[in-house]
Parts: sequence; structure tokens; C-alpha cells
Amino acid sequence: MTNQLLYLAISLAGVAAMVGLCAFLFGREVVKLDTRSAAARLAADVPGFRLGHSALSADTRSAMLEDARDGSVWLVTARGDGFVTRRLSRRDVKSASREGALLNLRFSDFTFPGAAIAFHDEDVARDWEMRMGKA
Amino acid sequence: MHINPTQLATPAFILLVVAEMLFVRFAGRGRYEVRDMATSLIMGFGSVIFGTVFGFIFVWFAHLVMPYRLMTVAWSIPAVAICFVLDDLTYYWWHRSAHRIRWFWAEHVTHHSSQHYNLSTALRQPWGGFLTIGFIYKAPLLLLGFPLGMLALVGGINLVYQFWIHTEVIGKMPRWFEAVMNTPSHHRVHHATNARYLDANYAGVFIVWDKMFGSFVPEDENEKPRYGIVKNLATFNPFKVAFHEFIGIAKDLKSARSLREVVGYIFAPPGWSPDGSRETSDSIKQRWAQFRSAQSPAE
Repeated sequence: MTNQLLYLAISLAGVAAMVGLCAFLFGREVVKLDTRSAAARLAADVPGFRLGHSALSADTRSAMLEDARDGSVWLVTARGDGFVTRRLSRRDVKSASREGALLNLRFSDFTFPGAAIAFHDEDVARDWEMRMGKA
Repeated sequence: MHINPTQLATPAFILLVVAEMLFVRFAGRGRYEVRDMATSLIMGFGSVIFGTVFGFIFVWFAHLVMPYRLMTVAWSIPAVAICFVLDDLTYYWWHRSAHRIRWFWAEHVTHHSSQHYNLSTALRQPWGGFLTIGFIYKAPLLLLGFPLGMLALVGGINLVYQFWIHTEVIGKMPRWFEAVMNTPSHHRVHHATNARYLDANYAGVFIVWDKMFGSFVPEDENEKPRYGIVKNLATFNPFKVAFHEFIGIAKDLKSARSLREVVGYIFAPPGWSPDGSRETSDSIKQRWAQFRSAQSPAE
């Protein structure tokens, strides 16, 4: 039992040391988005995606994009140095509320419960709230 | 005979991950991200714990099956070699099921949940094997009479082999090797979410199984793989990574309205829904093929 605990402790210390080395070598990179990279990501994930309207959040970590083919609304958001994309359909969005330029979304997704997207402008937030209502 | 190849290889795993990190940092080929790597290592650590705690289920299952074996295979080098090849064949079918049947995918999705492809991804192992009982795929080998220890040995060697193929640092291996063995190039395709690469290259050690059973797709140098899952996770929480698909199944079962829906939510391909409103890899591939033919009708 003591041996097993020792083995566990050494393993955990090893994990911590490797994560530390990774942090030292690579830092904590956070991806910034622009509309073009967000659209390119969606075009890769959604065959045939054609960019319609789009808006970038103030912190450039999220973008909302419309597929010009069917008016569907998509969210592309940065997670670490990668992206997560979600379709914002009525089925997937549990609730959406707006406070000024801030759009609060709650999803019916266990791994992605919600997102708060702050735009530069209140009108932009209102516009996307409306588009989501139609999508 | 009790040899644990995975345990023996652990120091090499650590050294190779460190070497790869240094190479990626200074040569600029490949990618590492701290939280992603931490999640992968914790998943690997947790899988050893879960495997130790719940390993008895497989042993119990094996003892249930073994009395019905056709013969008793004795330990010898040829027997181990044959067992290794046959075990890799059962691995292929288990792995194929793990991508085509949601119940098995619920466990295996953990391994695919990283958007990175480096040696730490190899260590991102599931915790829910005791729930899915995927080890039933070992039953034919037990029934043929291979001893449990031999299965554990060859299974361990298989797992150790698969470690080094999780890298972007190695391009292509020599042609003869690429033709027979699973390689970083073949396995990059397997981890990719590009429509053309979905549901391909299930091999463990020998890529010939994919060529025999029609699931082989070569890496196209004009289309760089994008790694992860079709609906990438927005979390690095190891518990959510390990069990999110099981939770998804439970939620869907709660809303099921018929036996057909219950069966579909558990055993149909991942993404199946009664009204077809969700995406499966088949529907994505179909849409991609339609889009491609619309783009270039002459092809």
C-alpha cells in the first residue's frame, strides 16, 4: 500500500513537472480571432459555408458569423490555442439575453454551458440577438 | 509470466514527450498547449487508476469465457507472435466499433478530444472502459485458448507501439513501412476531423487491416489534418472530458419516446438523432462530397 501511494505521488509529481516544462517552453498562448480566420475555420468545419454578416467581440476571442446560404448563425470562440465552433440554433441555445453591448448565451451543452460576448457596440449586440431569433 | 509493457515503457514515454516538446519549441514543427497537455496527462494518469480499480471486471469476464475455450495455447514465441497479430485484428474491430457505435464512442471520444496531435495526446486515455465493456472483443482470443497473461502482454505491446505514432514531428516513414505498419501519417488521418478523413485508419499496429476492410485513407499533403472531434469540447475539465458523451446519452435517453429511439441513441453512430437533425460523420461526408462535386462538376 505504501509502495502504491509512493508510486502515485511520484507519478503526480512527474505530471506536474512536465506541465511546468510545457508552460516554461510555450507560455499560455491565447488565440486572437479576426473575421477572416473565423470564417476560414467555419468553412473547414462546415462544408459549403458561405460568409454572410459577421461580427467580432471586443476582446477578439469570439466571432459570430452568418451562413449566407441559409441564414444560420454560428459562434466561433477561442479556447487555448484552438477554436470551438457551435451552431446557434433555437435547439442549441437555451437562453439569450442582452445587457447593452453584452450578449449572454446559455447552451444546452454539458461541455459548453454558456458564453458572454461583449461587442464594441450595443447596436451590433442587438442585431445578433435578432438574427439568432430568426435562425 | 507477468510483464507489463506499458509500465516498462513509461520512462521512455516521459523522455520522448520532453524531447518532442523541446523539438517543437526550437524547430517550430508541431504544437503544444499547456492546458491541453495537462488534461492529456491527467487523463492518462486517471486511466491507470481506473484500470487498476476496475481491471477485475475483465479478469472476471475472462474466467467466465475460458472454460469454453477450444484448446489451451502454451507459451512460446510463435504463439505470442500469432496472438499479437490476432489481437491487433480484434483491436481493429473494437476500434472501428468505437467510432461507429455511440456506446463505445462514449469511452473512446476522450482520446480524440484534443485539438492537438503530439505525444501527450497518446496518453489521453479514457476512464470509462469498465462501463462500455469493450473488452468483449477479446472473447474470440480467449475462446481460441490464448492465456490471459499472453493477451495482457500483447495488448500492452500494442498500446506501447501506438504511442510514437501520435506526432506531427515525423512526416512519412519508408514506403515499405507505410504499406504494412500504422505510422504517424496514417494515424494523423485517423485523428483528423476534415470530412475526407473521417472514420478512417482504425489500425493499431498493422495498417493492412484498413486496406483489407476498406477503411484506409492516405494522408493528402494538400490537406493538413485538423485534429479533435466534430463538435470540439469547450473545456479542459478531465471529468467532463471523460464522461461528457455518457451524460449526452443519458440526456437523450430521457427524451426518447420509443424503443427504436432508445436503441438508436445507444447503438447508432455518434450524432444519430430520430429526426436526422444532428450530424453524423456519414452526413458530413455526404455533404462534403456534394459540395465538392458542385464545385468541380467535371471531376
